[in-house]
Amino acid sequence: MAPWKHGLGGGKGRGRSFYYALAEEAVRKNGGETCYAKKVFDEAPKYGLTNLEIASLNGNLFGAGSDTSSSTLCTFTLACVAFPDALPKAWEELDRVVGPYRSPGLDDDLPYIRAFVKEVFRWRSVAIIGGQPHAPIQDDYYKVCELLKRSPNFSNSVQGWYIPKNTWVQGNVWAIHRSENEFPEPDRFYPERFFEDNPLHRPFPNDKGYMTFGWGRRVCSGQGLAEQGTFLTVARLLWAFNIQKALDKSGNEIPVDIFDYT
Amino acid sequence: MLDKRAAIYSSRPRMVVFGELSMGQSNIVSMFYGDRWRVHRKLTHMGVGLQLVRSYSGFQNNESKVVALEILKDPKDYVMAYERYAASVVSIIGFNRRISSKEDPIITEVIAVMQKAAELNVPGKTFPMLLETFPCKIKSHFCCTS
Repeated sequence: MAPWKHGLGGGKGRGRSFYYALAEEAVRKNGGETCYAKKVFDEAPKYGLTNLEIASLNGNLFGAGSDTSSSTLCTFTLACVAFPDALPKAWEELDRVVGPYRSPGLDDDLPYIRAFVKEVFRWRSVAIIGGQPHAPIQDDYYKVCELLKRSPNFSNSVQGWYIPKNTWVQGNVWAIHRSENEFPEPDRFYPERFFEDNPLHRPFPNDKGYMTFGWGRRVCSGQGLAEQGTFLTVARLLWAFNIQKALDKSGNEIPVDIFDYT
Repeated sequence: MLDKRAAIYSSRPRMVVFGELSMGQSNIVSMFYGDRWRVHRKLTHMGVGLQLVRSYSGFQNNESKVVALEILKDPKDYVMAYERYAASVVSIIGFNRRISSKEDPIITEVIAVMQKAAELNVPGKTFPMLLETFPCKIKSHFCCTS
């Protein structure tokens, strides 16, 4: 027997039976109501989906959508505690735009809060080495550096870095998000860096300003959902609370270590 | 490279434990790039595609209000408030089933499965992750025994 396999659904694994049972129960109980499990069961005959595939599609909602989103909110909390200077500007914007009689929503124009959320995604990203590895389906060559091309000894037969088919390729999100060129003072939580007129603003290859959700065709499918939910919750918690460091028995703030966090 | 040459760089390397022994080629996460992967990507978009996301904002917003309320009642337990919120949102999308309490068995089970997945996803020195370095024995031994 191989009990360690049971966590994820090889054979009679826990993940497989659990998520399949949940999906099956949801469809049985809800009948005509639309939920994702229902859609998957409806599509199953068309694509010949196995029970394991049905379980994986439903289970991925949790696998990809729950832990990641809650961890991002933990990051948000740590940022508030470690960088209290970022908060008054948020409160000012929320007081001005939203006011005390309702909490913020998706339609509110809150540029600083939007930047705050971006900074949460950048500062401590969930998938720190870019999540699952990618691999090329054919041999490839990565560019020759320009400096080498200008060298008198350069020969055109030099094709750059050879990357064989099936090579394990990771995008190092931690390094990218902490590169001084793109994000000066990278460990500082500083939402204003996303405003173009800020001295710490630097151009970034994409409009979002972060690579937290991965790359290419394997980019996170739930990115839109996660960004929307994180904005709603971050905005609301900033609106409702003054998040501060915990105090010890004599009333002194207990310091937090921004590097002692995973 | 991963973005600009996405047509080439969208497969997965061989991942012994994650890609062959657990959900493996039945899960889009560990699946190699190809037609089956495209089917799964399409089916995934039917759940969380951008055109649907906005329609989820109503209950997502409500669940986020519950987070604020829970933190108000029990600020020390904020992590659990976040976990309940995140799990509840996807549970509604998937199964039309709210997770209204931190004691809901779905929460504890999801956390257990995720913990296991995280462990199986990192090559390591101890069994079973040693298989990532020495995959030779898998087919001959372990598959027959489970």
